[in-house]
Amino acid sequence: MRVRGRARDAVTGPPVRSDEELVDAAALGLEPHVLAAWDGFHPMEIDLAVRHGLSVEDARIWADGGARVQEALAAGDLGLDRDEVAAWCEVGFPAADALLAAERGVALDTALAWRRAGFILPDAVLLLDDGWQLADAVVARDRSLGEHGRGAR
Amino acid sequence: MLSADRNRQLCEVGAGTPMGELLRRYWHPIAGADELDAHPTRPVRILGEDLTLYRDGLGRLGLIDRHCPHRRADLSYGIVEDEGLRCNYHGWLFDGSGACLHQPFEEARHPDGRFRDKVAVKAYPVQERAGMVWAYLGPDPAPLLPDWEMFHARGYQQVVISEIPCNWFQCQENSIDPVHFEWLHTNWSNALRGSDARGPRHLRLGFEEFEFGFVYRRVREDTDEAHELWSTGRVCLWPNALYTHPCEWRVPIDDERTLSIAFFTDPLPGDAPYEQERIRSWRAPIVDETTGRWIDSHVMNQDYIAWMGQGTVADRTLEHLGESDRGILLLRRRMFEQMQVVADGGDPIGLIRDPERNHRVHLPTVGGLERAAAPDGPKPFFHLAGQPPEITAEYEDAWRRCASEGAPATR
Repeated sequence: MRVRGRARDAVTGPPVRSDEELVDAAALGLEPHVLAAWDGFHPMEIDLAVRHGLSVEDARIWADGGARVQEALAAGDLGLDRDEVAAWCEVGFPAADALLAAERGVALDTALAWRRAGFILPDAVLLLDDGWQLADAVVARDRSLGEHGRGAR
Repeated sequence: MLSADRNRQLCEVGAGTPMGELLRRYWHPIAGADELDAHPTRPVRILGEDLTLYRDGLGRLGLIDRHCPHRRADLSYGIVEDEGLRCNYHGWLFDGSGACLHQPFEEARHPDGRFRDKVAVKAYPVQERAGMVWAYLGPDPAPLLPDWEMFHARGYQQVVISEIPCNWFQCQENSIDPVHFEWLHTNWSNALRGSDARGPRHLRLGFEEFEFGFVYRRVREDTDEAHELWSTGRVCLWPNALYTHPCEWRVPIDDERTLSIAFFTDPLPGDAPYEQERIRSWRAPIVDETTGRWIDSHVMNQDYIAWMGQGTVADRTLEHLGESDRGILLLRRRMFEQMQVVADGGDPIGLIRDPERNHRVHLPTVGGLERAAAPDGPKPFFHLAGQPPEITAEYEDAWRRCASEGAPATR
């Protein structure tokens, strides 16, 4: 029987990987015991973690804080600890935004201001990279309303 | 939202433009290989360049300029010969490397003259793979043409091509836009049938980068992280394709038109090896001749409507982006970065140069590479409208033969 999605054995509890995951794991050279140890993570993440030396214990701690493997590794590269990432998550940003902000030098207050104006952080980052000020970005975005177009402003 | 300058950077694909130079580092499908069967020359426009695709008398593919360097005659009306393509105007002959081999009257007047050595025509490397002709318009050394695992999947294979009157990048943004599945394909399809039923809502999205682009993952209200939509995900294949097995490439014709060229494998019953004599290609219409409106009955036709609806070139200076657009923003960021990499003289991501690496390269896909055929018979082609009856018949014949004895459907 083809397994679609992952299921748990109702009696013993060990995870059953889907056929696709097993194929992906084989393509990445992941051994079954590695897959078993990394329950809860998909093969691409496991491969990334193993190649960059992230332990499964650390990966689980980061994941509990909302950061997947890719983000945990980026945090390490940027010198961010879990508390710094958590500070962003506590005010509603995903972990990926905390990493992006650190990468591009965007302060939390700035991110919050752009968010209040209706810009998600990845959008704001591209605009900031381009030299935009928030007020100008708001004006430019609202051009679609036209001179006399109705719409909440 | 982007500035007008940034938008142009993403959209303009001519030689010398930042995106044009980035895209020229990759192989692109430009035609069905069987499109040269009926006639061995074909005009092609790709990345703003007008070219002539041909197959010479010895079966070799060539891709050279559309216009003869003599007096700019149209080489797509040229005469195919064993050595290459001869211009129909004054008989100048060129080979696939662009070298001029013969200038009849010039050589008659000056038998010892070597004027032909001073003349060359633009020429690009071109290869055939998986029923498609692929071209590389970049600098030497060319990377390897990827040997994707999907090309080797068992099933009836076909290539479908459409010309879309809009810029390529809004097409490619669709490749990393999971939420559109819910609305454009499920909810809108229901509405077109007069139903107000809604499909399962998206609750969470995830995006990861890997060697060949991005994987997007999603959780809907009817799935969880154990489901393959999250655990396996789908691939936004760098730089300009969507792989859901099928694979759809969005190849810029120029700044205002895109060639959608897609590779399909329809599962066949049984397990015995199946060999297909020729991978057929066909050109799918996008306009309903009865109504004059865009065709909306099939999945990819619905995508086309969304892309064309954004305008010939989407005006990203007027956008209001939200949570559903995180993938698109990630794509844009990487595009800008990779354009800079190329401008600085480096290799962009996603190239394969190691022959050892280039063997049935695996890409994750929901549903897996080898899929079970439906038990109750061959299925209608639901991806695009207009499948020619002869291709439908060929597929159904293959299905029946594979089902009847479990034997390979060889010819």
